[in-house]
Amino acid sequence: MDFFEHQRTAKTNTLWLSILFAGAVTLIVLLVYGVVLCVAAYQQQLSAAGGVARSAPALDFSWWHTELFLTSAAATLFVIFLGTACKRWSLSGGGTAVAESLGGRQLNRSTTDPAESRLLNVVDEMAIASGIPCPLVYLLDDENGINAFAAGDRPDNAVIGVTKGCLDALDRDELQGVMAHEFSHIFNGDMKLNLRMMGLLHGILLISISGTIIMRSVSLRAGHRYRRRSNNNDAKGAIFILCLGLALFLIGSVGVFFARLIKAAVSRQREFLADAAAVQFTRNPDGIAGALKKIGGLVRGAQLHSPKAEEASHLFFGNAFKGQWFATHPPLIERIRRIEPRFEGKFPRVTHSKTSHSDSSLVSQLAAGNQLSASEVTAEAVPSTPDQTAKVRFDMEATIERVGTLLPENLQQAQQVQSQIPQTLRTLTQDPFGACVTVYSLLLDRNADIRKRQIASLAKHAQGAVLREMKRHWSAFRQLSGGTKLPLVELAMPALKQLTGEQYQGFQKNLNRLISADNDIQLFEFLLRRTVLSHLKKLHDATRRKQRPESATQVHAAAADLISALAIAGHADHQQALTAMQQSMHSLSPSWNVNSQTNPSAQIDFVAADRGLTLLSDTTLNIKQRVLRACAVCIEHDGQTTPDELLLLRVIGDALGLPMPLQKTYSP
Amino acid sequence: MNLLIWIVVAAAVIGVFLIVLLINIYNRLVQLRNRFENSYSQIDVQLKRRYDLIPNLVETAKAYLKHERETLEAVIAARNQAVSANNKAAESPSDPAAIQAMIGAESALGGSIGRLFALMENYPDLKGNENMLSVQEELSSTENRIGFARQAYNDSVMSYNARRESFPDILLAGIYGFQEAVYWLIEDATERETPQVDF
Repeated sequence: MDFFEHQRTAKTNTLWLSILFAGAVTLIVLLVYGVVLCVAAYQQQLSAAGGVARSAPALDFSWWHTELFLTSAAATLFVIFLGTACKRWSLSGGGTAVAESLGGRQLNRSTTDPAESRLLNVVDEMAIASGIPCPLVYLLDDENGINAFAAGDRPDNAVIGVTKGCLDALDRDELQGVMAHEFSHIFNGDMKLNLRMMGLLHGILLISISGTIIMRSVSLRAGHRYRRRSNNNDAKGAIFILCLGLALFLIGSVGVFFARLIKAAVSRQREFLADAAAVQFTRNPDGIAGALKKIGGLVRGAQLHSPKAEEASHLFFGNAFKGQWFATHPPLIERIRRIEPRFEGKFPRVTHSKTSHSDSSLVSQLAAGNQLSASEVTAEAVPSTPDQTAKVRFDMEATIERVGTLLPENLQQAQQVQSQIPQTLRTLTQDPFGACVTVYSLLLDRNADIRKRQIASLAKHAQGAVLREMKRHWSAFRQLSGGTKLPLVELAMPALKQLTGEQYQGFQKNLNRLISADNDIQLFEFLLRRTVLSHLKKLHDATRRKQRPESATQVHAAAADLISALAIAGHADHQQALTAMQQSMHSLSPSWNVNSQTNPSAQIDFVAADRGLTLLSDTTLNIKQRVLRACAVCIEHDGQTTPDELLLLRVIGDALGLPMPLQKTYSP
Repeated sequence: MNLLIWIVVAAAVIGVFLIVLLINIYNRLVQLRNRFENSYSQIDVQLKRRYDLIPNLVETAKAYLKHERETLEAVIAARNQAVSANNKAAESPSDPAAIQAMIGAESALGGSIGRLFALMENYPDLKGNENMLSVQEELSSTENRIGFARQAYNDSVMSYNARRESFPDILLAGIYGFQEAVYWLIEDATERETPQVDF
């Protein structure tokens, strides 16, 4: 099953979820109507039996009262709708909203706590390796159980949450296993499904809440009335309302019961898939098996304190609550046996004390993962010439298959790339100020004249502090090898996401000024700008709606712009580029022709490519898959793969929401 | 009797609507408050870095400024004061009193460090000392980050205060206990100067 099939399965599951939910809602509406009917009949009996004459004519007893049904149905549906809509609104903040509601604390990237920085490293490594932007990481300080979650609605706004218990009890391999499991949820489209479930469930929950509130208010009022004067009918009226409240509460509970069953049914299968994916990504079954065993050995297991966790229980790595019927996750032993068939069922004793952090030193961590000695890691990075053509064989099918997955070699590549980045620059990316400095510095031109212009423009529009800091680190930046530049930007993304609205505006303007200082856009500048701004823009401009393209012609035009950029980037000879473009556009639309609309010059039209990419990012998954395939055809055309092509492909994948794993772009 | 049912249903519906509205207002304010508390934690990280640098600064200076003990002691005292004020503020950044105390302690610290640097002008040996230069560079780089983080903090405080003072949030802010957040404004002359940087 590849990424695209996973997404489609997730969509089908969502459909199932909606159908089951609709069924539950219908049941509830009927129940509410039934209750209201009983109450009405009871009330009618009272008025008939009591001495007080009622002006309204007696209702004859039949099971169906249209207006009563419509009223109660409308009220019920309104309540459910309101609950769902509100939850959806509150979850529209994405993963951060979920993480904060669970009491998570955003981990500061400049943290000096070795356990926290180890976690950040594991997450960063996996993000760079798989091609998604480094996610924000939240820590649930008060939770001692071993558990983790991933929340968000797209891979590029995913958020990872981890309990304190994880940091204390798991070693690096096990942590990596758990993270791999969570990352697979991100890739499989599970997060969106989970959030939808949370939203729908909340609607049913609201009924039981409103029932509770009615009960409470009535019992207070009834108490008052009774003391003041005992009027039979008044008391009975109060009791009637009390019963209504109670009934609503009970009905709501029934709804919750069914909803939990639905959650459990939908979630459990996905958990097995995620476990399997984790093993596939790391090729290290011991990691995730070890984590599962430790959960078994820990008294607290994976349980969580926070009452809010109930709503999000299906998001987590392990069962957050006891109880088989509503278990959102398969039993531990079964999960372990699927990974390790010979597991006997003996769990290791796990205590709360921190395991020895023998791998706490950053340098030795990287070295251990990469089998480089410590001295090699700290040595100066050797700059490689940007025009180096790596004779890397490009396998089109494999590339499409690898979207949204990970292999150990990608992880190793990520580790190697990170080890080539000097520690001072890594530290620089950890806070928002330093992250801005990083991005500006990466855009400084090698040519001294252009650089002077860039610095002058920054002097006018940025704080003096920024330039001072840039000067401090300039020599380190100058020596960075080409393959580490974009990963460095990816590392800076989480800190950049913390820029406030105004800071972002200033940053964006400075970025554009730096790029246009030489009145020309280079490929690297385009890639950097695309990587940085497209993600930040989504953060600061949440009101932008998806604009589905109107027609196939638009899609083809956008794809043409994009592929022409790719073709020119990968072929030195312009004729060859045109042929490549022709071939790849053919795979997309057989009738397409290289005509006057195509860019005739040998220069890449970055503006058009950017526009095309934005348009294509709003299309359906099917179209995106075909566009990706067309890109792959283009790259494969001449049998040679240049680093530029691979970098561009990765950025294209990122823009389309198709995470592309990190491959070797420069020959060793 | 029909009327009674209508009334109950209508009341329930309105009741639910109000409850949901109240919850939403609360959640929105909580979200914005979380954001500025988060911004404070950015400042906190950088402040701690600065506080850790100061003992180094004082130690290096001690060897040269043998007769200026008072100035040095003042710096250490101000630093300790700021550390404890920061710890309190970091625990509850939404407490205006804690933030005010923090701002006060920080400006006192800034003042005493300023006096130390002014004094150092008379001791060129100290000024040129390698360790001193490196500590000063670290300090200035940390200052840069503090300034940036403060700006972010003020931005998020502004969003929170604006929302809190709007309608209908203002009606409930008092009940919920959402207090007005404090801005951190400092006159920082160094931020205004245009550097003559060339590289």
